[in-house]
Amino acid sequence: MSEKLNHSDISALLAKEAGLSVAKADFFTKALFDIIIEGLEQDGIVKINGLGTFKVTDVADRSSVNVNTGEKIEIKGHRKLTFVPAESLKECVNRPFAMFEPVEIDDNYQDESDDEANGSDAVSEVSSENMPAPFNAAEVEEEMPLEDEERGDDEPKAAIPIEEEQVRDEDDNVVSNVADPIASEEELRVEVEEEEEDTADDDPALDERTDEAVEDDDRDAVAEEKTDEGPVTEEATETDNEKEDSLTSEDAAPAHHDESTDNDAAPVKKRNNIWRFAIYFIIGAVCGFVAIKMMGRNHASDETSEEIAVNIVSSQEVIAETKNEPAVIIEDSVASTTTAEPATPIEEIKASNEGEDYASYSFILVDELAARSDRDITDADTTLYVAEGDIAVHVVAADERLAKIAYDYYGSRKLWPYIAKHNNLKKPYGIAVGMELSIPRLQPKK
Amino acid sequence: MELINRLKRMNNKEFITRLSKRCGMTPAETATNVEAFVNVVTERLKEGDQINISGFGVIETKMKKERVSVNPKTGQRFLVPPKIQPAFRPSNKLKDKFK
Repeated sequence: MSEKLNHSDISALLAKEAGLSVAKADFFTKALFDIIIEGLEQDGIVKINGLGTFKVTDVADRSSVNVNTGEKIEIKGHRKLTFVPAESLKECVNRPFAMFEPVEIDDNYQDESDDEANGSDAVSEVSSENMPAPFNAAEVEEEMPLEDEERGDDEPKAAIPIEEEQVRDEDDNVVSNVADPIASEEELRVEVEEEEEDTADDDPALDERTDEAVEDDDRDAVAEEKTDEGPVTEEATETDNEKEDSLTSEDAAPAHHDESTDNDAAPVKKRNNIWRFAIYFIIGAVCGFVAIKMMGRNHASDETSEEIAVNIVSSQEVIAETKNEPAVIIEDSVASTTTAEPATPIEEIKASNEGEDYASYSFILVDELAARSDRDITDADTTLYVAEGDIAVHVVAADERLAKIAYDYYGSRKLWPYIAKHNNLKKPYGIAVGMELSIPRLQPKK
Repeated sequence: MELINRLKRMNNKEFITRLSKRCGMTPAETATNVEAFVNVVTERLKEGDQINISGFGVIETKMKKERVSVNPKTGQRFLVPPKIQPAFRPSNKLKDKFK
């Protein structure tokens, strides 16, 4: 298959192809490459039909940084040889992948696929909810960091609407899967639809879980349940708190979409964009939390475990507080799904479009998560302590990172942002071998 | 000046006339030979082969993975499929010549 051919191989092949003697073909190819080089020297460009264009391009001066020392270096401008393959050559070479075309990722349906991803997050949240029980009694008296409390406050509230959304989406999926005989030719789509079916298989479990949640909160929600039997529009007018308000507008979105043709998808798109960002943020926050907890469990040191316990407790309490609300919300969504179901054709389109998103959402999520969790850590961990004076000056050795240095001095990897802050490091917090870092003494904030 | 440069460019026709002079063939003959050469190269690249020409460089194919690209104007995202692309790496000798 992939061999390395040299000059004489090419000549031999050419002799066969063009009916020349080998010697002549050899001479010809030699002359051909000589002429190309000559042409490049003279004109800076040589064009050969069917093969492509060889060009000499100028590269401007640019400054760069020595990765090891952090010194600035200037890379002088120079000339470079480039080759632009001809269209026909490109096509021939790319034949194995010719059936693929760029697929537009439709932002309209992004949040739905995200919700399904959130399903797994919900699971982890539930499990982490049960986990910290043994710590609970001992650590309740611990001081709760204000910021964490606030952060936790937003989080579960917002996470619960997603769960209900998910319920609705999966209903849609079920409908579309039943109605959609798989008839598409593209491999990609088929694969994606299989995936969808998989998620549909998972549905019962997820539904059960949310049902349990509903049952838990039934007592609180008895009063509201009555209103749910009424028409949806009535509910919209009866909104008391903000959460419900935003939710009904969310519920209105699909309805609006049903009516609208493809032409006026723009406003819906905009709104969905906002939702998407909100959801990204929530996912980021949840994952950040889980990551912190996991890290904490790995370390046996007292300091970190205490902190984490506090985190857990605060989040747990907040969850408990907010648990009163979801019942209302979930009931809402159930009502809205029943109203949405008659419009199945549009739902089908939705499902098929959703498939295209599927392939890419995980990729995007990972990026987004990395960015979010990074920021969260710095925000959270530069608030618990105050830096007072220096303990030592640390000279960075090879293979060291801020987290490792923090672990060496404080016994916790989590405290690296203090070092970064103390030394006025900027994102992405790169440190170089031989760099001198002053290590701050940390006093707990009161 | 730019205009003169543009006129001076070596296009396919110019290339073939020069090559025919060098080899002592008629331009038509040269054209068919060049075509045959291009066919050979295309055929080899299709098989995934590398063509090493000493003093000139390497003509080969590169596999590009799929990626997500964004239209900066509209913010639309596209999933660009994987593809195989022909590529050329000039030899060090040739690189130095143009530095």
